[in-house]
Amino acid sequence: MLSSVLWILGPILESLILLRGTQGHFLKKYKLFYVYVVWVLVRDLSLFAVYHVWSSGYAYVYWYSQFLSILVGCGVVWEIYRAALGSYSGAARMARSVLLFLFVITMSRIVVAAVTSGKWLPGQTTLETEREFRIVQLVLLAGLVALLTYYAIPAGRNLKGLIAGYGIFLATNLVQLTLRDFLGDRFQNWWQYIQPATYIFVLLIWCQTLWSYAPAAESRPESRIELSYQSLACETKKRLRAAGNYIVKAIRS
Amino acid sequence: MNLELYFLVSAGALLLIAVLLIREDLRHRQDQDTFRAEVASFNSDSLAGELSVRIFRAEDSEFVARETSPSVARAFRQERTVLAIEWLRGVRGQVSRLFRSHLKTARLNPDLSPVGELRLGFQFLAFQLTTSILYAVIRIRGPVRAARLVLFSLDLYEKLLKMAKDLSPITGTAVSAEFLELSPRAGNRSAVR
Repeated sequence: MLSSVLWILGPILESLILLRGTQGHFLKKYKLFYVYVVWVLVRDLSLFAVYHVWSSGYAYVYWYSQFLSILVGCGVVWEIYRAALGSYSGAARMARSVLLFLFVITMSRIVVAAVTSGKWLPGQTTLETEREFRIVQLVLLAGLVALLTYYAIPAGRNLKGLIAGYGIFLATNLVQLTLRDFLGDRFQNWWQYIQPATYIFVLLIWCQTLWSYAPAAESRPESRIELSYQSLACETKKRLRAAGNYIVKAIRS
Repeated sequence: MNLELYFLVSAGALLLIAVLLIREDLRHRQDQDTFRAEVASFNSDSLAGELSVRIFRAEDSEFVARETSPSVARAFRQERTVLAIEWLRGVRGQVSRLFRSHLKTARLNPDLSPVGELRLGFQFLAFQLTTSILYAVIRIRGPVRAARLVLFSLDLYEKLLKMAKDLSPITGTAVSAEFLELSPRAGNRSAVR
């Protein structure tokens, strides 16, 4: 009964998010995120139908569509990057380098595992494989959030919602996949409630934060660059050294 | 089993960070002007004060120890420790403000060099780390003893640097230039201001 309620609640909230985006005319502002919401809505409804019409094929459809979800989910991370750093070309340049590095590191781990497994899959089970890809997404999101914090990039309500919602979704997903893998069928009974419940929590966050369009405050154009990056970096470097020398000198005197 | 736990703990930690981030309000302020203001204040502020020179000198402590009772000398040492810690906190605060304003300016600059930023970041981290150690030593041993310890470490560092330079002249010079300019030449005041 409870699992059915949770199952039905998901598409309702997803529809509500899409409805608010359409009413507020901001679907285009977060295109990839809304593509993701449309995809999970279609998937939820299809799985519901498959479960009742073709229950023996449910697991098959579930896991294959799950991989597509992971792929579409990458769009949410990209959307966060785009929305957060669109007006900050310097920080965006840094983010591209850092994220590319993180992506190469995490993906090479998956590729090596897939090549050595013989089955061309990084995990021994589908569950492990999903977890590997979720780790890549989580690492990229964590790297992006770390950069946003480092450069004190302002985030509006919408962006904070996207980050918090998808961050919580990925983290809880990873915990659940690990527990499911570690505890096996013992955890299955819990999993069927915990997984949709956390997802509903994430959808509620998105409903609340994307109820209306609330972007971050734009950086003021008049405060933009006059100083070249080289001179800025040189000045900062010089001051850092001066501070170090000053302390040494105070102690030496 | 260990790997599973590792994933569990990592995901838990990331979840915690996500929750904390919801609560945090990332504020946005002026960029370019702030950087210039910070540089100006950095030039003129307490960094160049004469006070700092006396905090670490042993003469005052020795005089008080010689001329007064042990309890007064102890109170004096405690006062000096507080003063030294406040001074160090001030320097660290100024450097942090300067670095923050650097980041606020750099984030808008399309010419930003990721490698340069990483180097600066490490340099800032090294500064924070070194001063944190100094902070702890001052707190535990007092400013005068901390100064002795630092001087000893610096002497040792310079000797090692000289040895490295003798062994590999090119590398040694590069390293000494990259780190704090700790050689006696760096002691001149014009380099500081």
